[in-house]
Amino acid sequence: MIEFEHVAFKYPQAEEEAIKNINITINDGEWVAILGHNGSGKSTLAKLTNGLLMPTEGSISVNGLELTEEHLWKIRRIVGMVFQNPENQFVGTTVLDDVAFGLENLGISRENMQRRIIDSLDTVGMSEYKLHEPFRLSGGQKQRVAIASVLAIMPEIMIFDEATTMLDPVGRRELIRLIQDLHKSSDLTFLSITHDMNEAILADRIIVLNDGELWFEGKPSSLLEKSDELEKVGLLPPLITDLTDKLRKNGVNITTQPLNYEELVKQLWILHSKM
Amino acid sequence: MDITFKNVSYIYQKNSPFEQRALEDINVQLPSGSFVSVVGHTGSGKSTFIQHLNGLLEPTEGVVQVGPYELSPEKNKHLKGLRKNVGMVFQNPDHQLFEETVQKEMMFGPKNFGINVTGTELENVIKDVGLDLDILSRSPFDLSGGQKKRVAIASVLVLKPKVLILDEPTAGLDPLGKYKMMELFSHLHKSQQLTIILVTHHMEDALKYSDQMMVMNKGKVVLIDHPLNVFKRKEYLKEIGLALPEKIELIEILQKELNLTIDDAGQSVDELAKSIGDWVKEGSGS
Ligand SMILES: Nc1ncnc2c1ncn2[C@@H]1O[C@H](COP(=O)(O)OP(=O)(O)O)[C@@H](O)[C@H]1O
Ligand SMILES: Nc1ncnc2c1ncn2[C@@H]1O[C@H](COP(=O)(O)OP(=O)(O)O)[C@@H](O)[C@H]1O
Ligand SMILES: [Mg+2]
Ligand SMILES: [Mg+2]
Repeated sequence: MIEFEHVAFKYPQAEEEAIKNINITINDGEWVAILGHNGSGKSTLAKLTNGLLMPTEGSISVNGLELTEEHLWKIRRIVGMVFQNPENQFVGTTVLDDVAFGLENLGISRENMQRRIIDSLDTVGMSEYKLHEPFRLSGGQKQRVAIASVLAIMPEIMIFDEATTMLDPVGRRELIRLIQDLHKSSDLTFLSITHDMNEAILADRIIVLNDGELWFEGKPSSLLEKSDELEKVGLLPPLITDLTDKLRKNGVNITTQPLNYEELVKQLWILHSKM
Repeated sequence: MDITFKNVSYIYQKNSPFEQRALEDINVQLPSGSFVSVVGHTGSGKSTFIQHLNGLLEPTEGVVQVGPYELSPEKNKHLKGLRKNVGMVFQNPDHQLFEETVQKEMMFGPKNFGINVTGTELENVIKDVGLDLDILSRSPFDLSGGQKKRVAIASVLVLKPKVLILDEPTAGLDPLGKYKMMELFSHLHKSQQLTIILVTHHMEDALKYSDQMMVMNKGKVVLIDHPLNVFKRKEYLKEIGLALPEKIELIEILQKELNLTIDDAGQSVDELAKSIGDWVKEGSGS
């Protein structure tokens, strides 16, 4: 569980706070998507969660541990993070080393370690590249390796900070499916910072930041009901919502906000049959 | 400027155990003034391909011709002239930013290439990419990822290039910012006959904006055609790990689930909504 209580953060040189009086609770096993315009404070929020930044006001706790110098290392074991820019995250000279690095201090057996490395590289489709140098990979491949490194650690809480931006759509879909599976089969708590509305609406809950403040918190379908306000905060409705809005304008009486095409098609069929 | 690749291959770390053939015998012609989308699976060679367009990489074999400039394994002289005309926005803005302030960052290129940029022009570019003017005095390193990306784009646009190379330029931009940025590129393309080569994973954008799509797979160009024709090859695209634009997927679903046939002819969402609305209202005619 992650708890933010009246949290504010200001970068030393900055005039304005990047995070302003935020109160949120993320529950165990929950999948929360965080949306918001560029510069709205998403990465700052993520870095506050594992103590890469310390709040200037308020308090943060992870699994009941308050975020202080003393608990920092414990908290970093609980929270695994994949950054926007994977390059800043590589430490090993080969892909294999890189994934192994994070596992070294976990006190797990050699065989177990090896299996986790191979499994996680397999999962992201990068086994072929295990002896390559991480910084000589293509952008999307780098992101896959960074993701594998965190998957191998199997943290209780995983934060992806725009970790899929450079993946091709198929790769991204596969990864999302993997996260969905992990999410279902384990207690994984997953925070995904993303600009992909289609990805966000798969989450249990969505948080939207705007200029460092909490602008929305709730179910994906409630966010989509506000589709005409999204532009104000740098977002746009996904195609399914845009289409639903336009169908309604064309006199098609869609009652429940569909989250996917299956739901939309069902409603269309019923309306068509009634005519 | 016309762009021609003749039998171009590129090998990373040639003659080492890590030798990696990233381009294999590429032959393409991209006429001046076109808007080309380059798509392909991660690692298919897109970034390697476009880095040949401004001489960042030199072909291991073959010849690249960009307007009057020629690049081959042997001779590559006029790189500065080439780079003045061919602007490139990198996939990762961190590779592009290095000055103390955004203002200096923006003026670095113009100074280097002897291009005069007025204060108004500078301000307009900043606004065009969706940034506030007060960003000019900030350090590019203290910006969020998306803000950095915008600065990187602005610092290339300010050079008024004739060819604009964009490597996933909207990755990391918020949805509204992404939309506006694509509209900006499209406007520049139409109003100034700017040649645009766009590397993208967004099939929607490839469909909406480009007049040619170049599909890469394992270092080769496997398809090059109008987007609507490329997307007719659904099975093949799936085979090489590519997705279809969401709109085309939707049209497929309507066909399959509702037996409602709509031709994918690049319709707007409004047009799609109208066709679907008509079908609903027409009813099952019982
Ligand atoms: N190192 C830094 N120093 C000063 N300001 C920063 C720094 N990093 C980010 N900021 C500013 O803090 C705000 C929030 O940034 P960030 O959390 O990175 O946004 P997001 O991830 O939502 O795009 C932005 O206005 C950004 O310019
Ligand atoms: N600097 C490099 N050194 C060695 N191999 C590289 C380097 N950059 C890319 N590659 C390899 O070349 C191939 C093509 O990469 P790239 O052109 O970046 O692909 P894309 O942009 O389509 O994702 C990939 O297999 C990648 O691993
Ligand atoms: Mg960020
Ligand atoms: Mg690339």
